Amino acid sequence: MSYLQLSNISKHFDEYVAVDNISLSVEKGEFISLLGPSGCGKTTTLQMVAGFLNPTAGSIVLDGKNITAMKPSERGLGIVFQKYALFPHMTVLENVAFGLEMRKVGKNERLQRAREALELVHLGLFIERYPRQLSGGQQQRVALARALVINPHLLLLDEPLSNLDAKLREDMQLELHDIQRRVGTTTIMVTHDQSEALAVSDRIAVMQSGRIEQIDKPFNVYEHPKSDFVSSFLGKTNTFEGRVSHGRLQVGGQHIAVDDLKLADSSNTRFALRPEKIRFCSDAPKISGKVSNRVFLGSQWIYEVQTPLGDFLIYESNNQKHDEIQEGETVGLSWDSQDMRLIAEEPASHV
Amino acid sequence: MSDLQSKRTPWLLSGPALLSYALLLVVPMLMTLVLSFRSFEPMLGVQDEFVVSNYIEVFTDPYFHEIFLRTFVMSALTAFFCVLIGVPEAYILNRMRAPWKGIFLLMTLGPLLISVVVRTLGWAVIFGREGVISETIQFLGLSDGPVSLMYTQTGVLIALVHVLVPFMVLSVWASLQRLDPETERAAISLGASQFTVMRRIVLPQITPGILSGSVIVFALAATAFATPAMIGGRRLKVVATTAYDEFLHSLNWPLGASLAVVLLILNIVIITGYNRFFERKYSQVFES
Ligand SMILES: Nc1ncnc2c1ncn2[C@@H]1O[C@H](COP(=O)(O)OP(=O)(O)O)[C@@H](O)[C@H]1O
Ligand SMILES: [Mg+2]
Repeated sequence: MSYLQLSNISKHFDEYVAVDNISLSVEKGEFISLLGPSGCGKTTTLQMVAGFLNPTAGSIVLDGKNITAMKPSERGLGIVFQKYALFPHMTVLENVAFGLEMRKVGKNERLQRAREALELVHLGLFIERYPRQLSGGQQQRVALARALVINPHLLLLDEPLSNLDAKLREDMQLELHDIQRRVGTTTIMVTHDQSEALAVSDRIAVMQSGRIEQIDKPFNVYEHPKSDFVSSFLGKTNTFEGRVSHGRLQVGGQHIAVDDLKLADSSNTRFALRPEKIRFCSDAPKISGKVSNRVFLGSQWIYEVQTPLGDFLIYESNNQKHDEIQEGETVGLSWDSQDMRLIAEEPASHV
Repeated sequence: MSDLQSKRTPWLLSGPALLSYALLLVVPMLMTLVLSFRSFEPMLGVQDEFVVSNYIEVFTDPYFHEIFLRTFVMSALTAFFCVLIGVPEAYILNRMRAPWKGIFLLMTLGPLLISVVVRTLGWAVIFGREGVISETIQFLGLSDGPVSLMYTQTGVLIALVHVLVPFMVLSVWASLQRLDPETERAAISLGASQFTVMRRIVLPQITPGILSGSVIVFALAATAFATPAMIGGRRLKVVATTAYDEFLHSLNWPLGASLAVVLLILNIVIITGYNRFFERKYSQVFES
C-alpha cells in the first residue's frame, strides 16, 4: 500500500462535477504534480486532501489511516497557499513558529526550530520583519518554511510560484526541488504551468475536466502522451491524421514510409510529432513545405512551415551548420518514424 | 500650462467645497466660541462683554461634573457594547452565503435610513410603563407593578447601542473585506482550533476596524441629542441635552455655548489621544 492513496474521489458542487472519480497513489518522499488547465479541478482535489472540502465520494488514506473525515487541523499537513496567506500581524519568525506553538512546543525550542527552517529557505536575516516588508519571493519562502517546520506528513502546494516573475520563478523551481529532496517530505503540487511540473516532479498527473488523463514520469508524459490533450498540453506538438496500409502511411495525398513503425493496417489514425524532432533535409525528405514564419529565441529557432499535412512547428537548436533558412523558402523535412506518436482518439464529446 | 496656473487649479477646484465648509461649519463654530465668552443677565439677556465666568461655572459646579461624567461613562459603555455586538455581527454577516449576506447586511444597515427620532420612539414605546417589556415582566410574575426603563441609564444605553451599532458593523465589515480568508485556513492547517483562529488570526487583523468603529460610536454617543432627550428626558441629562436646555429654557446662551465648546474639546482630546495610542501600537504592522 502506498503512503497516500486517493481512491475514487469525486466532488460535486450541486450539479457540477468538479472532480470525477480520481484515484492516485503517492509513495513516501515522492513529488507529484497535478497539472492541468485552469478549472480542471486541481485545487478542489488538493483541498480534499487538506480537509477543507469533503469528497462527495471516495476515500483518502494516509500512511494506513483513513483521513477522509478527519478535521483539517488534525491532519498535520503543511500547506503553501497561492497567495501565501502569511499572518500580516506577526513577524516572519512568529509566522513560522505558529504551527509549533499550536503543537505546544516550548518557546525556546520553537524559536530555535523556526530559525532553522528559515535558514533552510535562506531567510535567516529577515526573521524580525513583517510580511508586508518582504518581496513576493521572500514571502513565498516564509510560507514554505512555515509549512515545513511542523514536519508535515504531506506538503501541499497550490500554484506556489504563479505570483512570481519569470526569472524568480525559475530560481524558485530549482530551489523548491532542492529543498524537497533534502527534507524528503512527500509533496503534492498543483500547477497549470507544464514547464514547472516537468522541472520539479517525480511524477505528473495530467488532469482535464475533473479527471486524471495520465500519470507518469515527466519524460514519459512528454514523450509518450496517452491522449491528444496530454500531448498538446505538455509542450507544443504537431498532429495529423492518416491511414495505414501495407506499411505505408497515407496522409492527404502523400505517402510516408513508416517501415520501422509497427502498425497494423487501419483506418484513420492520429499522430503527434514534437517540433524538436523534425529536421531540415535536402535529399529524400518525408515531406516538403514553405517556411511561413521564423523566430529566433537565442538558444533555438522556431519555424512555421506550411505543408500538405497542415502547418508544422519546428524547433531547431542554435547549433546547426546548414545555411540560414529564410522565410518563403521551400524546405524538405524529415524525422525518424519512431518519433511519431500514435495517440488514442479522444471521445467524440471532446472533439 | 504655466507653473502658477497648475498651482492654482487645485484651489479653484476645491474652492466651492471649502467655501461652503467655512460658511456652514467654521463660522457657526466661531460664533459659538465667541458667544461662550459673553456674560448673561437674567433680566437683560446676553451682554456684550468678555468674561470667562461661564467656563468657571462649567468647571466648578458639581452639577455639570456629574453630567459630563455621565456622558463619558454612557458613551464609553455604548462603544463597549457596540464592540461586543457589532464585531461578531459583522463577522457572521461576512461568512454568510450569497443571497443572505446581502439581505442581512441591508437589514443591519437599513435602520440608518430611518430617522433617529423614529427609531428612538420605538424604544420609548417598548420601555414605557405599558410597554412590551413591562407587560412581559408582569405576565411572568417577576414584578408586581409596572416596570419602566424610561428615564433610566439602562434605557438610554440600550437605545444608543441600537442606534449606533450599524456604524461599528460598517467599520468592522470594511476591515473584514481586507482580511484574507486563506490566513484562517493556513492557521487551521497548522493545527489551530476555531477559537484560536478567532483570537490569534482574525481579531488582530480587524483590530484597526474595531478601534475606528469605537471612536466613531463614542463620538456619536457623546454628542447624541435625540436619543438621550427622548429616553433620558430632563431626569437623566447628558451634555448635549443640558446645553439645549440652557439655550431654550434658561435662555442662557453663553452657558450653553461654553458647554458645547467644552464637549467638543473633550471629544477631540479623547479621540486623538486614543488614536495616537493605538496608531503607535499598530503602525508597524498595518501601515501601508
Ligand atoms: N465552492 C465551489 N462552488 C461551486 N463550484 C466550484 C467551487 N469551487 C470550485 N468550483 C468549480 O470547480 C471547478 C474546478 O475548480 P478548481 O479545482 O478550483 O480548478 P483549478 O484546476 O483551476 O484549481 C471550477 O469550474 C470551479 O468553478
Ligand atoms: Mg486552482
